[in-house]
Amino acid sequence: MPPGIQDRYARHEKLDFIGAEGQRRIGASTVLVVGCGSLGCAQAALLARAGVGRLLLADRDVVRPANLPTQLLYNEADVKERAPKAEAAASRLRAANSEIAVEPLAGEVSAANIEALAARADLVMDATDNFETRFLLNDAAVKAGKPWIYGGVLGTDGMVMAVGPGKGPCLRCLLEMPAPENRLPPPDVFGVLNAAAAWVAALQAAQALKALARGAADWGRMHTLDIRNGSVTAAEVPRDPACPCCGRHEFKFLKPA
Amino acid sequence: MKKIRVRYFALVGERRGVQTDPYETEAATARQLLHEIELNKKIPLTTNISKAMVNGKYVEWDEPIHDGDLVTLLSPFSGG
Repeated sequence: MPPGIQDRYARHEKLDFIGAEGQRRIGASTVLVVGCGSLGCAQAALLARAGVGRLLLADRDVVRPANLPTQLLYNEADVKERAPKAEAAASRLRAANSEIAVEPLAGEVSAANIEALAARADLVMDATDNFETRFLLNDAAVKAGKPWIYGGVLGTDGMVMAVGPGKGPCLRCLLEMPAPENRLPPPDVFGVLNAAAAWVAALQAAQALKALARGAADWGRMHTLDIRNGSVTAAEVPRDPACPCCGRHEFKFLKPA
Repeated sequence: MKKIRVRYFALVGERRGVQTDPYETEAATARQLLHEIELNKKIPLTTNISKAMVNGKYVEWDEPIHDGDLVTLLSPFSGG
């Protein structure tokens, strides 16, 4: 460790739900971040600085001009170079914390590789931009018994729920199937406020740190965030005993179509 | 007619973000209410891709609707 930063996690260790033991567990953890857009950038920045021992960053895109307002890890040079997001993000995170391992995975997350990725992680962060990948991630995480943190943002609003297999409901207890893309309001039409994305990502990161430090996130509590009015509401999502995923263990999204 | 309020969360078309409207209905259940709103307001939600809350609690689609209820129709966000 470079001199002078032996106490780098002192302020996190002061928190009752982290402490020295929780910080040690966070340092021994691997987290998979699926997507390096507005949510993924902010999540990864918070988790890297919090000392998560290994971050796996997956994204298939390169940095574009329209990403700069909302995606906090990138700069204008990345746009010029058409840098792959996962790699640009990894280099910024390594500069912020050289004590952790950061692995960029520039490519698609699909049924072909999600199980292998989830197997390497203690927790999965949802920073995807579509529901097909979220249902895939839900299947893989529930099958592997790994927690994952759902988060979505649109306009000035967001939603966050921690999914703990065996501890609470999963995404399919809430929704039977992914909405067809043409039924959902797309961010490129309705926009995303950068502060809303950062707020959603911050709540997801807090849930992740609680889970990693103490195994105690707010499992199954759906938070709905409205940054325009500055309000958050939360309600318990009931577990569905007949849920095809966490109830009957039919992981249909993991099977090739 | 029952007078209720409907809170829309992340729906398409003109309704996006969070919006709460007064609404009059004869729908007996959350499912009937969703179908009714789908028909008359052209909100393309179906029970398999969305979820309802009544007075702040997540419910099954057969949950009865009463006068004065606040019904939230929710389609989780896909943006990231």
